[in-house]
Amino acid sequence: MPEWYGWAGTILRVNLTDKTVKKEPLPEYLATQFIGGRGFNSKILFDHLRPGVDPFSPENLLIFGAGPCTGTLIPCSGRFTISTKSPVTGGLGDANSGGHFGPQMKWAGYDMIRVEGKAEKPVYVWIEDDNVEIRDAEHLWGLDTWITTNEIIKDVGDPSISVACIGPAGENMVASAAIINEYARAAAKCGVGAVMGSKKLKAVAVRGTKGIRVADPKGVVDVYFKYVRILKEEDEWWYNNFSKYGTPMFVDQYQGLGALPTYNWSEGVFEKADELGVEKLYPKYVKKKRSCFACVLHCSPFILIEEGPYAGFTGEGVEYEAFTGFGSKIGCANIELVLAAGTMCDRYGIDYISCAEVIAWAFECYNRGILTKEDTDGLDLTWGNEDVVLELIRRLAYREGKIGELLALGSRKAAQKIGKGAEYYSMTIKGQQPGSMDPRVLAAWGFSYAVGNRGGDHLRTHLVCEYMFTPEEMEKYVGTAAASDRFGWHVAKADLVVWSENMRTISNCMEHCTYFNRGAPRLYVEFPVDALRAVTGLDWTYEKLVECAHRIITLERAFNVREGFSRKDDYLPERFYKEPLTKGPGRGKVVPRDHWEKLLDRYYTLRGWDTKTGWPTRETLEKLGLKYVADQLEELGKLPGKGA
Amino acid sequence: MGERYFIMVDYQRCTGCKLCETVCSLTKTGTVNPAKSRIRVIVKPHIGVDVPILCYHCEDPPCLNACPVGAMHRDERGVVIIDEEKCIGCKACIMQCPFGAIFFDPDKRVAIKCDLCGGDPACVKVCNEAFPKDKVLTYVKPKDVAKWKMLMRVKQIEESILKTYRAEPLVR
Amino acid sequence: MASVEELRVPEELKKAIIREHLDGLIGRTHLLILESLEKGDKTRLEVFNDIKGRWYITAPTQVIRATDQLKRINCIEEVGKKRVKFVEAEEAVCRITDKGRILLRALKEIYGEVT
Repeated sequence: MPEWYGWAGTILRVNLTDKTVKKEPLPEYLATQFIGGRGFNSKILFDHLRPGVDPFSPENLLIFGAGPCTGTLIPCSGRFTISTKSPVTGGLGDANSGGHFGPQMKWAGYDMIRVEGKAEKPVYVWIEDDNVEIRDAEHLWGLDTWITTNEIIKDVGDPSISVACIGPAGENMVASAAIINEYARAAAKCGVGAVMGSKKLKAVAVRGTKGIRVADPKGVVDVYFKYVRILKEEDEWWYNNFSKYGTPMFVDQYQGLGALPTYNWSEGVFEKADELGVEKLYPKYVKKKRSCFACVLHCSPFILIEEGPYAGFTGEGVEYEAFTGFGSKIGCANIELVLAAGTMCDRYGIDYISCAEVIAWAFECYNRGILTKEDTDGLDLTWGNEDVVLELIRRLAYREGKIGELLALGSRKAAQKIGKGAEYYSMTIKGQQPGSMDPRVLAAWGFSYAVGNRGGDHLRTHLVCEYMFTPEEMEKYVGTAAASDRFGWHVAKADLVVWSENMRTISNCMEHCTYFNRGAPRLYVEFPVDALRAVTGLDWTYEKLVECAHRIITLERAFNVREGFSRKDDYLPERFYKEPLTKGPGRGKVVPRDHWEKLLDRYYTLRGWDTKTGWPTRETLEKLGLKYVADQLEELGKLPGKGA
Repeated sequence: MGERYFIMVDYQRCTGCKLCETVCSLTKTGTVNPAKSRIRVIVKPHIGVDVPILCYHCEDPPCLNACPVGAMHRDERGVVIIDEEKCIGCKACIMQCPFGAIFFDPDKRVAIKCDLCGGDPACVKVCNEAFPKDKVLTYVKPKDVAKWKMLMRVKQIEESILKTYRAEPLVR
Repeated sequence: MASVEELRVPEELKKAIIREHLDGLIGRTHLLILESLEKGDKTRLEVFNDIKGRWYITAPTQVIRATDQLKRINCIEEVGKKRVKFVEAEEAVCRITDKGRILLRALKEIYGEVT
C-alpha cells in the first residue's frame, strides 16, 4: 500500500442498479502510467466497456476523475474530467470542468468516482468524506441546475458543498446536455449530461474535509510563485488581457484574425462584431470577476442585466462560445441576448457550443428553404431574428414540439432525419461540433479539430501557440518555424498538433486549466514537470510525461477504433474544403484537400499509427505497454497487418 | 510592544479562488485541507458574492477573555496565539468570536486561528502575486486602514475632477 | 535563430538575453520589429501591420510577445499611449533604444534581408 502524495489513493465505485457503494485502492500503475484525470478515465473506459455498447444502457460508465494536482496550490488546478461513451459520437467522450468540485472530490478522499448501472427512480449521490449515500432525488427531478444545487444545499444543511448536476436537458437525454457544477461551470461536451440523465442520476454532491498531502509543501509554494511570475513576465499580454476581460475578449481578437464563426461558419468576420465586443460588455454588465479554485486569472465575468427586455438575467461565466453561438453564428448582434441565452443554458444544463451549433444549423437550413415553418412549429428562423433564440433553447431542453425534438438530436442526426442536403450544413466532425475559430485561417488549429479523439473539438490541443509563439519559439520547441504561419498548410503542422495534443493531455491529467499556459513555452515544458514532482514526490521528467500523453492518446484512439472509427472520420465538414472565405483577413482562404491528406499521413506516422487506416500498430501499442490492447484489437480484426 | 498589523480585506474584489485558504493549510500543516485553514472563503457563485473570513486581530479580543485555561496569550506584536498543548477544546473562544474567525481542527481537536504567520502572511503573498492590482488582501497597520480607503476614494474623485478640467476651464 | 554566441553585441546585452531565458530565441521576428521601429515609433499592432506577411508573421500576438521580449532586454521602451483597437482600448507606443539598434545591426549581419 503506497504512501500517496497528490493522489488521494482511492477509487469510489457507485452502482446505481444495486444501490451499492464500494471503495477500491488506486492501482499504482494507473498513477505512474496514466497520471490522473482524463488519463485514468480513458483507461477505465477502455478496459471495462465492451465495443458496441449502447451509451444509454446501464452498462455505460460515467466516470468523474481528478488529477494529482487537483485541489492543491498548483495554479489553476481546480479541474476534473467526466468521461463516458458518448451518445453524440458513438466513441470516447469526455468533458472537462472547473469550479470547486474536483478539489472537493480529492479532499473527500477520491481520485475517481466511477458510476455504473442505472437507478430505477431519480437519485443523487451524497459524499461526505468516507460516508457515501445514494439518496432519493424525486423531489429534484425536473428542477433546473441552480434550484437543484440550492435544494441539495438545504437537504444536507451545508453551503460549502460542491454539486455537479443535470437540468431538464440531461433528464431528457438531449444531445447537448451538460453537467453543471457551481451554477456556471460546465462539463459540457460529448453528451455527458445525457448519459447522466439516462442513469436517472440527478446530481453528485460532495463535501471533503480530509485534505490532500503533498510530497514537498515548500516546493509546491515555490512552484506557485515561480510559474505565476513566468506567466506574468513571459506571457504579459495574455495575463493582462485575459484577467481583465475573460473569454469574451476572443470576439474582438478572432474578428481581427478573420476567424470569428459567422452565419453557421460561412464567414470569418461578422459585420456587427463591435456590438458583441468587450467594450459593450464592460463595465455595463459585469459586476465583478470570479475565479475557479486556485485560479490566478479570475477570468469569469459575473453579470447582471439591470434594465430592458432581459432585465433580471444574472449569472457567471458567460463565455465566448455564447457570443458566437447566440450572436455571430446566427446573425444576431444583441449582447443582452447572448448573456441571457448563456445563463439559460447553464440553468437548463446545456452545452453552449453544441446547442448554438444545432440552432445555427437550423437557421441556415431555414434560410435556404430546407426547413420550413412546419418543421419549426411556426417559429421564424430568419438570420438575425433574436426573438426566437430563448424559445428555441427552451424547446431543445424539453424536447418540445417538432423543432424541440429535432434540435435535441444534435445537428448530425437531425440533418440525417431531414435529408434534402441538410447534412452539408451540419458542422460536425464524428458527430460533434467544434467551437472556437475558423479552420481556414488557422491550419493546425483546424487540423486538430478533425483528428481529436472525442470528436470535433478545439481543446484536445487548444492550439493557441500556433499564433502566440514567435516563429523562433516554434522552431525551438516544436521543430519548424513554418508551423507558426497560420495560413500555411506546411506538413510540420502535424508535428505541431502532435506536440500540442501531448501538452494538453498532460494538462488534462494533472489537472490544470489550459488558460494558464498559452504563449509562454516554459509553462508547457517546465511547469508540469516541476509541479508534479513537488506534489507527488515522484521523479517525473518531460520525456516521461510526453510518453504518458502518447500512451493515453493512443489508448483513446484504440477505443474509437474498436467502435469503428478510422482515417475516414478524421476530416472537417465539407464547407471548409469547398467554400473559401470571402471577407476579412482570411479572404480567399480554404482548407486544401491535398495538403490535408499529407498532414494525415504525417500525423499518423508521428503517432506510430498505420497511415492507411489510422489504427494504432502493434509495435506502437507494445512500446507503450499496451500489448493487451493490441491483442484485443487483433481479435476484432482492427489491427493493421505488418507493413500495412 | 512591536508594530501591530492585521489583514485588510476588500470584499468587493474577492473572486472566490481560495488561494489564500489553500496556502494557509499548506503552510501550517503541510497538507492542503480547508478544514485546517485559518482563513476561509465562503463562495456564492449564483449571486456573485465571495467572502473571506479571518481573524481581525481585535485590540480587545473577546477570544482571549473567554479562554478558561489561559491557553491564549498575546505575542509581542499583539497577535493572539493559541497554545495547542494547553487548549482543552472547549470552543468558548470559537463561540465568543463575533466574526466566526476561530475554527476547530478536526484532527487535533483544538482551536486554531490566524497568527499572521509570524509577520509574513502567506495568504497575502499568494493573493497579491496573482492579483497585484486588485489588492483583495493587504497586510496593513490599523492606523493605516482608513488611509487605504481614503486613498481609494480620493483617486475616484481625482479622476472625475480631472475629467472636468479637460472638459472646460474652471477659472472664471 | 541565433544563439548569444553568434550575436555581435556587448556582453551586457548577451547576459540580459540569457537572464531572460531568450538564448536561441532572438531571430528574424525581432529583426523585423526593430527595423520597423527604426523607421518610427509605433504600437505593437502598428508594427504587425507593417511587417505582416514577411517571415512567418501572420498574427498580432506573435509580434506582441516578441516585442515584449525585446522590452525585457531593454531593446525597446514604451513612451506613451495611443488608441488602437485590438482588445485593449489603449496601446503602448514603442520606441527602439540604443541597445535595440545594436541588436538590429547584429541580426542583420546574420540574416540579411528578411522576406
